[in-house]
Amino acid sequence: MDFIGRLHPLFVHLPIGFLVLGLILFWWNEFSSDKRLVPALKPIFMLGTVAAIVSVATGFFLSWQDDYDTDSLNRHRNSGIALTLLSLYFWFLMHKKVEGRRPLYVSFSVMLLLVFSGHYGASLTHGSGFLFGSGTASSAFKPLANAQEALAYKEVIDPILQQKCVSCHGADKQKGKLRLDSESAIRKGGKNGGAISKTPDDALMLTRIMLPPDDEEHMPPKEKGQLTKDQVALIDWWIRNGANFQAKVKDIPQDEPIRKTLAKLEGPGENEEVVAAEILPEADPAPAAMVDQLKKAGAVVVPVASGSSLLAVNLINLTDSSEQTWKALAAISEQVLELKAEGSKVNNGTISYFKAMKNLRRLSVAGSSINDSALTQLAGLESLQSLNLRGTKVTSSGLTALAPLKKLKALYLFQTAVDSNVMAQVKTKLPGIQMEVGQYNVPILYTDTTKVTVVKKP
Amino acid sequence: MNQTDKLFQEARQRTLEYTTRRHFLKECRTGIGMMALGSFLQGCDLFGSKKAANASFDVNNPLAPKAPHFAGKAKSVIFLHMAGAPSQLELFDYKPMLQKMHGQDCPPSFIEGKKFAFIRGVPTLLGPQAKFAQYGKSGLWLSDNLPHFQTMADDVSILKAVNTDQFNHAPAQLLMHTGSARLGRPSMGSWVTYGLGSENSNLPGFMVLTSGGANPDAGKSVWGSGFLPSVYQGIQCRSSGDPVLFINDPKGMDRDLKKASIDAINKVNQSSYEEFGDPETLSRISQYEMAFKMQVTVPEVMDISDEPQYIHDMYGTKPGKTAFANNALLARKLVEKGVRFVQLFDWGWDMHGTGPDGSLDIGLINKCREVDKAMTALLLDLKQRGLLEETIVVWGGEFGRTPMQENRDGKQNMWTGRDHHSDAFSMWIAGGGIKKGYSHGETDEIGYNAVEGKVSVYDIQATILQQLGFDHEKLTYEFQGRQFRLTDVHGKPINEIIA
Repeated sequence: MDFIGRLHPLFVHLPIGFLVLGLILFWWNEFSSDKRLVPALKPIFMLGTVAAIVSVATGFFLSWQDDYDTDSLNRHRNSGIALTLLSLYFWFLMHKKVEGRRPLYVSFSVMLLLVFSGHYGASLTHGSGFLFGSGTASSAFKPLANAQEALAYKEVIDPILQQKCVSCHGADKQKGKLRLDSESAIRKGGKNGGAISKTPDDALMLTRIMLPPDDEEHMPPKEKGQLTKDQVALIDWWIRNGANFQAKVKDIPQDEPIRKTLAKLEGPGENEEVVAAEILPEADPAPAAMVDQLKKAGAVVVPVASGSSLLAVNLINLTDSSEQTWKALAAISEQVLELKAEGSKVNNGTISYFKAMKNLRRLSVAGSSINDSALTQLAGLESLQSLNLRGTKVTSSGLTALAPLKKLKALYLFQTAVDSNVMAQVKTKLPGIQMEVGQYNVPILYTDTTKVTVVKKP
Repeated sequence: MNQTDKLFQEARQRTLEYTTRRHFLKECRTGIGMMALGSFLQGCDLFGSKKAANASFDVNNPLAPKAPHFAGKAKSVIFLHMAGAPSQLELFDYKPMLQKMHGQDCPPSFIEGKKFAFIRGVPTLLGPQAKFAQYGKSGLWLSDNLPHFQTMADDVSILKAVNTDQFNHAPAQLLMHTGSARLGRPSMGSWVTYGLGSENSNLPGFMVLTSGGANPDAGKSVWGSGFLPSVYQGIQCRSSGDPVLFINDPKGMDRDLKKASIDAINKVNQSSYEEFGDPETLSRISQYEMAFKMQVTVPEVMDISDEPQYIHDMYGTKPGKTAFANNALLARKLVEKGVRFVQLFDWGWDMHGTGPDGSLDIGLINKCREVDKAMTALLLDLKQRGLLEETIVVWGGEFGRTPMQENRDGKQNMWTGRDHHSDAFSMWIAGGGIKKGYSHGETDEIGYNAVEGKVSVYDIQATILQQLGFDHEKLTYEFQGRQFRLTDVHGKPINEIIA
């Protein structure tokens, strides 16, 4: 029984195809002198009518097993039956080869009914707002002015349900006899039990949401839009605290994580989890001639992301460290986001070519011969977040020259002459910078060099 | 006609035979036809951005550095694979309840309908065979089997609910590294070098080091390039003796002569490529060139004797031997030199309880002692060099171990040991923009199933690719008529562990 009903969405598209094809041919015959296709009309409308009858039959089965809004269902059913009868009549007219105006009028009525019954059916399946995007299916989240002052159900929970649940549990369709679009409906629950309940562990809404996505009873179904982690947390919080429909957010107990989640509702957007992609600064494309020259000199010059004009530069393969190369590097200052200039290629002189790299985020001059006087030249690197000075000749006193670098977060000083006694003092002058002096020691334990051996034979 | 003329004539004849009538017709049909079709379809982006990944592959310089999809936080990866699968219940996943239930029969609900590699009938539960405590500000639970690693609790993220669908070593290792339990797919390191190229033009982008006395069960396919051009496969180096066998010039062959002969071979290969267009020919050319460069660079980079003594002390290296500690130090050196993906395999973690070396209270402890100091030193060394922020370090096996004592063929094993377990196991991951001092996922009270934060092997692969700047769904290669990717049709980056 259920199976026959579920065939409805399959069969229902057949009469649409046949009838539209038939109507087009019919009109073509009417309005042109080309009559070669007349014999095709009868079989086409026969097929269309038979398909329509099968569709109506399967539709009845479907309407008995699923829970649809009675009004929408009636509209779809009645228009569908009317269409079937009318196409039967039209087939009869074709069979009798009736001439004159009547077939034309009937053909327009068939078309009209086809559009309406199709539309009503689609509204049942996809939700009534699907076509024009005005209805429940696509309602967007509005950021809340003050999450704590907002109404917990109306402004926090309901928008989530509207977005992710109501297309199947709403006015048009009530899967499992459950509606989630109003207070009374949620209180009533569905055929399997209460959506919310006195004890949160019995609340079916919560149970279904929490089931692993692979579980058959997981909601929303695997192929539909899933609740985000935050949305699950909010529903969980609301139900566990008694599913209060009138209270404001601030009146419901909150722990720290949920307070943070609630605060996110004040922000823009759909509170979906964002991917780890960074937002990059804007820059004009680097002059191609300069990039080519650097590449010819052996530098690795790659966009940091495909399509981005920002570049990551590594001088590890550099074969030509003439002044021309350094000038080419300086010419793309604006575009360099990351720069690795390690080893013997960089010194106090050549580091001056880095001065204007205002977008530079990561710089490594590890293993180079630069000393404190070079650091003063880096004061203009306003975006610098990470600076690697490992193995250079810098000292603790020179580091204060880095004070203007407000965004600097990490500073690597392993294998340098920095004096650990004064580092505490330097750190107060450079607040917020994680200084990595290294020199870690992993002690040698007794166990590192011995093995456990058999003490007893089982 | 003398002999030489004959030869030339034969050569000419052969060349002509390459273009047969059938050849011509085939070329006409697909060649001209496709050209026409291509010009029709220009502008309608049929395959969207998925196509773009393949297009960026430059056959003339396959290892040229390339841009990822978005700006990644990490530049390189060190994957420490403990082949044989270490027991999460003696290292990371503390289960006091399992201790209480020690010796009881395993509840039937856990074993009903389940298949194990060796367990038959009803096994008994086996409590944790190690002491646990909380470490660091983050309070991560770690066992006393890893006394050095305990100090790193605030630097790593532990995944406690990793899930795989393979319970035998070889397929599980293949799944972990190639995204498929069957042979034939490219490994993660191959995908990464295919996507990012190699920064150091004198070293391969993907290098492999093994220790523990044996290669991983899945063989060299776990660092193979599958259907990607073979230039992307992992280069295995030995950590003692010559790093690559036969890398030194034989007697009587100097470097100039070597260069001349390689150039001559490459010329022949180049013309053969122009004739047939097989990308494998180009792989061959660049491999000859790479081998020539490696003659100088590899012995240099693979020589750990130039490291200062305090670094050797830190790692606990064993000079002249094949050891995990030596490989860990090498991994740091390679990453420092711009190698993209370093894959370490340490063999011998398969503690079934069939003998003392395969037991949890002897064999496992000794394996831990072999790697604990070195893996801790690796993290600290990367950290002090500023490399940890751009290097992802992953540690784990191919699956986990059962909360039950193994009873091979229904008889309790003589020593404490656990069977293969695929439903939930632990791994740790650090650096490259991963959260520090964080634990993700929970298992049930006896550590059998994941109950929260369950992640799959594909999720880990997707996370690694994401940190390198890739949308794992878009890093693809067209093969046999469809776009393939590392994570196949699965995977979701574990955004919970992203800092």
